[in-house]
Amino acid sequence: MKAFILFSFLLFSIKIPAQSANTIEGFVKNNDQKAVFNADLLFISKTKSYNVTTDDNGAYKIDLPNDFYTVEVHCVGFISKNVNKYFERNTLLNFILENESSSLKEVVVLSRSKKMISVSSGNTLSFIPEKLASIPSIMGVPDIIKLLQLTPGVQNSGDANGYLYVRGSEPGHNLMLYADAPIYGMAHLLGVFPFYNADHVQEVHFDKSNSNARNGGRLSATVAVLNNKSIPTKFSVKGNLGLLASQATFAVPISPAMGFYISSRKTYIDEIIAPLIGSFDNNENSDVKDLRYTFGDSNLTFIAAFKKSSMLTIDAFTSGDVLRISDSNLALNANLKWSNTTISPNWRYQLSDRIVMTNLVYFSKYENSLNLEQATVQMRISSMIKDYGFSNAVTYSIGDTSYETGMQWSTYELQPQKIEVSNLSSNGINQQSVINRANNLAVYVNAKPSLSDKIFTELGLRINYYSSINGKTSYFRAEPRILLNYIPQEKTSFFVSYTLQNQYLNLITTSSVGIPTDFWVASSDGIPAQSSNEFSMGYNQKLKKQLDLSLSSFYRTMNNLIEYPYGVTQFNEISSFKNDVIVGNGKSYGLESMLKKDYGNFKGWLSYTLSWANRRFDKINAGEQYFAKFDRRHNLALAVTYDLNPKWNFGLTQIFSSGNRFTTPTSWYFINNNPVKEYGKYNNAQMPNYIRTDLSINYFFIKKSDKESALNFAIFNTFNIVNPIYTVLNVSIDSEKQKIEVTPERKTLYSILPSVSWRFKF
Amino acid sequence: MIMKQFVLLIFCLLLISCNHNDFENSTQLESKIVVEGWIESGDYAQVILSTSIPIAASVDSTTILNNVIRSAKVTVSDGQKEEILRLKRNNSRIPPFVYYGSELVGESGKNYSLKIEYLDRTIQATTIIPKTVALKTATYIKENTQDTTGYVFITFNDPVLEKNYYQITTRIDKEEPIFVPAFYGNLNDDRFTSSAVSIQINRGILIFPKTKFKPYFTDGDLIYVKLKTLNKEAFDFWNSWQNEIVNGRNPIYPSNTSLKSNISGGLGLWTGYGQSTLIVRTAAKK
Repeated sequence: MKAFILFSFLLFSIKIPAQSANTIEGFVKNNDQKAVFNADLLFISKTKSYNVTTDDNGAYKIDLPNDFYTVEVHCVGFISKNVNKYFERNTLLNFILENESSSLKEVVVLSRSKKMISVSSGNTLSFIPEKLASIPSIMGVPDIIKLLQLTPGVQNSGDANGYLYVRGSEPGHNLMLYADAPIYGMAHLLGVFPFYNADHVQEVHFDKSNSNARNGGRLSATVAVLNNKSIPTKFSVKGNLGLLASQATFAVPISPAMGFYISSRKTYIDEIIAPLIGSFDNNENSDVKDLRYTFGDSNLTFIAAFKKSSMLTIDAFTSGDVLRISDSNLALNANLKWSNTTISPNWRYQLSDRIVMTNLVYFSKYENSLNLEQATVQMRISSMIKDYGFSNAVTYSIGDTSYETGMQWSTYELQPQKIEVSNLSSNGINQQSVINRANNLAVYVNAKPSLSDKIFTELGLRINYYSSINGKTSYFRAEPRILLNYIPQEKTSFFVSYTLQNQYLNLITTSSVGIPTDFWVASSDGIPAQSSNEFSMGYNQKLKKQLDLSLSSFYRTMNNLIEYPYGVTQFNEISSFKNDVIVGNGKSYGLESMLKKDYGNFKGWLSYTLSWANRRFDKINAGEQYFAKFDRRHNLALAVTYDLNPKWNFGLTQIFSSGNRFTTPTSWYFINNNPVKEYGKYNNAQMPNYIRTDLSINYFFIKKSDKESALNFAIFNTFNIVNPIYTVLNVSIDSEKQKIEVTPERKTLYSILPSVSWRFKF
Repeated sequence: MIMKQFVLLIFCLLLISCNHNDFENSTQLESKIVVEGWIESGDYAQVILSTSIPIAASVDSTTILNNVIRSAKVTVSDGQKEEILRLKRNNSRIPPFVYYGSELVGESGKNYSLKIEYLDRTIQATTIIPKTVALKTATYIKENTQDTTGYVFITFNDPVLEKNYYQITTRIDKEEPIFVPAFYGNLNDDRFTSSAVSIQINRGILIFPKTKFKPYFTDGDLIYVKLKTLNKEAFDFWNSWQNEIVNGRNPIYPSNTSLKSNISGGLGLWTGYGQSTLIVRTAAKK
């Protein structure tokens, strides 16, 4: 590009008549001359600090009084840059940031307080999945959800579950955003495969307490997955070839101002693996005689820049899973399908130097259906949710305070759980075929004023108006979000936050393991809206040797949580959710800590969470308090990588967590000569402690910033520790029919599981 | 300094939580009194009493007797007359002892109360015998004439002005000692679109004695088909029983709720049935 840009960075000044306030502007780019967006520039004088963020074209502009400044440039995925400069006139100042080539530097706790700014808190973190490829995973590709489970405040979901349990909440309490559009189906079968194709994802932002008023409609955390928004400059392909699945991502430039990324993933378990395993699987005790599973997904990101000030991106995501089970003993044939479709065009327009407007239209759909054929009865259980939305946000600054104001409108269409039974009688049964419709309008404002040079705040207010169309239910509620950062000195910071949130769409969980038969219901007649309050406080300290320590504590209350204990028990009885859902409250609290080393050959983090998650439902356990299913007292996770040399790299994760809760029978008896079980109190039992060690070895044939070829060997559950996913009671009757024994049997999903995959980038 | 304090705090909390007595060991293995009692129209009351068996205990034909309650005083009353039932052995039942009535004959429309006095405990329940609905036909039908298996179809008229719950049960002579509820055979008349009901029966499961589950009937079977009418409580009970039998080991829709019950102070069911039975003769075995 322009010749004056040097390798590291360059200062270039143009003399303009002096003013008391100077306009400083320029670009931040990477080695390849690509724009670096969302880079933070911090201008620190003796008395004040100012910050500005680059736009999608990598440009920034800020007005500063005459003074001597230390300029810091930070961006996730890049090595930070510092420069000292006296500004006394309008100045053009460009930066080139070097990519961070090794992993783990990117787990940046966005507490910029450590870096002397003050806009975020210890409740948020972000990372670049690609950079965490050395951390062991089953498929040899980064799994965003499983990586989050290694961080404080997030419970280990166990082996057969791909959901996210954050600070004592349920999976449906998390706002999952894919390119700003909500995703409603959140896991693949048993959580074995990563939900997102990490190759397509640029960055993940995780906020445990939703301090940002932009995010709402859920009780717990936000997981925002952001795709690459820089226009590809040359055609490239990257991907992963594995034993069970493969994936590929293409970057395709169309013109200098237009291009797209397209990704695809597919499993081939059925075609290759199932026939191999099939021969071993024919023992009598196997629960499922024949099981077939396949899934695939595709992502598309199209980017077009019109002039410097306007940018259009279109993100689309679709995924589909099919599971087939047949069991001749029970004369059972089941076919379970679930799919997601999301499309979200986004238009970002820079109105002026300090005002940016973003418009988003999205459509998101999730549906699942279970077709069950047992004996001569055919049953179909299906559910669906569609969400159409529009949002408009304007970011601007007045004085030294930056603001974001926005409006979000969504309309929902839900089919909670439609049950169709045929051949039961001459007339088919068709129940709950009611479609729920609801609307939600939210307006919000976020401001980031500084109260002093040591106290920085983030204040937000979100106002929701929700109305259900058939149920004639409506709610009008305000949600304050407050975050205070206190930074007494450069290496130390404290924060306190309070968040109030409401949720109007509820996820009903029916399966005890990660089989996606769960469905969404909208608040309406008989189904209340949920709400949560969360207080958290924390402390961050930069220690010697580039170690970062963060400690935080939280206390959360949740109202109107919903349990649906019947599953499909009631399928041949007329039922409505109004009668069957049980409503109660939840409370969770805990301490979270993380020790992290960002630099050197040896990098990683240690995360420990001590937490409690309680529930109290009038109709469960006679109104006594009980532990939530994913109440795990201790959660310890260690994730480290070691770069031996440019060719070899090693990764290790160690997980220890207390067992989750489940309901177990306490006794059994006979009714009509058949043994039946009497269950004890809800969640009366605890699984054994979960312990797992994973290892990975990467061998790089080629390792450059734009080219890569690496073999990944991984061993999942290296020490072959049995981590049961659920227990069943076996009724065994001896051959003379003289003796009956009912014994609990623990079902496990994984034993030791080695894998190999080839990662490539051209 | 602050650092050290925080680390200390974490460790203190760790210690506290380790000593904290969670209720993970509270999985008490408890034993409750189980009642399986019924009175059909035109028949005497029958009651089976036992105690529930703790998980992981195994029982065989002799030790199961330890869980049978044989010394209870079981009284059935229709409001005017009452009768104390007498214990007899019945090897076709598990557990193999049944308290039988011999005086009070069940009548449709009457209420029946059950009183069980055992040790220092008294257990009570009441029920009603609903009106009987007659089975019109029961036919064995094969898809192809060459088949050796087939299904039974029944027809009956659901009284339009009455609220009715039904249960279809079958028993194959010489093969099954007792009537078995048909698979998906609990019916609510809300579902019927006309009063003339025609239904295909799927054979139910009898775990003990264990037979391979077959939803169909076979040539040579002599099939007793019984259409029972029952009240809402009993209907709910049998629905929960069916869920337990079908989904007990199903990880997709696990059954993890106990059976419903109308016995205060115990488990199980005391119910009255209206009943109508037909016999279906299948083609002789070739």
